[in-house]
Amino acid sequence: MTPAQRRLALGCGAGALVIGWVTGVILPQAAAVAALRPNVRQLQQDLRDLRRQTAELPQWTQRYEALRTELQASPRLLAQERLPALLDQLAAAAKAAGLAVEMARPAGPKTPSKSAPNRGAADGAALEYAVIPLEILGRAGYHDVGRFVEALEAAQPLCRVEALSIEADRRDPLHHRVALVVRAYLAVTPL
Amino acid sequence: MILVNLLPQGLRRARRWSFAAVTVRQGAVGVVAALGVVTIGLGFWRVGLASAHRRLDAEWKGLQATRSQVAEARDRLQTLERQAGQLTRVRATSPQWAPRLNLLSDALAPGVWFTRLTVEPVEAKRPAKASSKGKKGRTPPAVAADRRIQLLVAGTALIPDGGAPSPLAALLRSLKQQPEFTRSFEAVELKDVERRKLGPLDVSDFVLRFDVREPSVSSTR
Repeated sequence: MTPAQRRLALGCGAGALVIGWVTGVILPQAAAVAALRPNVRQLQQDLRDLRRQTAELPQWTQRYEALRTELQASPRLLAQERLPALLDQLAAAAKAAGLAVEMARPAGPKTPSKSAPNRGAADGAALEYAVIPLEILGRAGYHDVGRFVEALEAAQPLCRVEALSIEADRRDPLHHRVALVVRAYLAVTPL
Repeated sequence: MILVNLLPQGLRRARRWSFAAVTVRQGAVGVVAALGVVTIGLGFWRVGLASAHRRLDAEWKGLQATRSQVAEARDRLQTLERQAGQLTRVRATSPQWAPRLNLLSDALAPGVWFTRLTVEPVEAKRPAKASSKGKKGRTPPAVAADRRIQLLVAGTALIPDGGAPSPLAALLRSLKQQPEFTRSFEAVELKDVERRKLGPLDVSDFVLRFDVREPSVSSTR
């Protein structure tokens, strides 16, 4: 072997050794580091968030309780249990306005679900409150009806007049036949 | 010519490093040393990261109870906040009937009386479609429609003798003069006017149709 050939063989051997070292040792190390780094960062971030959220937990609970009281929210399964109180509330409002209620009848609770989104859920989000339609029949003067409707529209829980009918009665010109369809919107808690 | 450097040794500029002067052996030692440093550095880094990952993972798993407690509290609060927002929007978009009833009673002129008043929602009014040119086969996005509600007022008005002004016309004029009218109703239409005798009096039965538009909840966002 000539000296030139020996140098060439040595050079090739050293190059192969370096390439082998890089591909066999350094690159797997680098890959392992690259795989671990985002996981560690993510875990650190998650832990920071969790600590922050844990610190905010009392404020969340306080806000939840305040909202629950403000919205008079009750558990979803108990929404129907609120019917008697709701009817009492409407009857009291009617009495105060001068409307003589002859009948107040619930048409059954109706809770919008994701499969049948209610009106107004344009973005596809299901409405999460319970809706209870109520039918009220009675007799009252025009202005009494106006007062009752005003009280309904300001009521808590939210009530909205869906349909209204005032019909004059020839036998009693001061008291008309009144029929209202009202929808009561009840906030519900997940539990 | 003989050049003599008279500067003391300490003040002389160091000789510039030259690549050509590096021998193959020095180069090989340098490459091996660099690879060694890189390998050792990466090794330390990897061990440190693996240890940190194990520690953080254990801490994360140890906080399982806190995590579920936080997630539950957050979900419950978000649910109520969403409901509060939805209910506020429903309240904002619901047509208020009490002021409208007031408006009608305030506009009532002598010689006119109402016999029946009904409020009922009618079919949904879809917003105008955007141009569909070049969009064949594409499903249009779901858009909530504004709802149209009709207020039908049936009544009777006296027909005055001579050239006296009609009470029905006075009612319509009075209604339209009220500043609240345009805010409360989209349109008013007089229909089904029918003249008849009521005892000795000439009267006309009429129906006024008022249109009220209820904006969809999404359009108020």
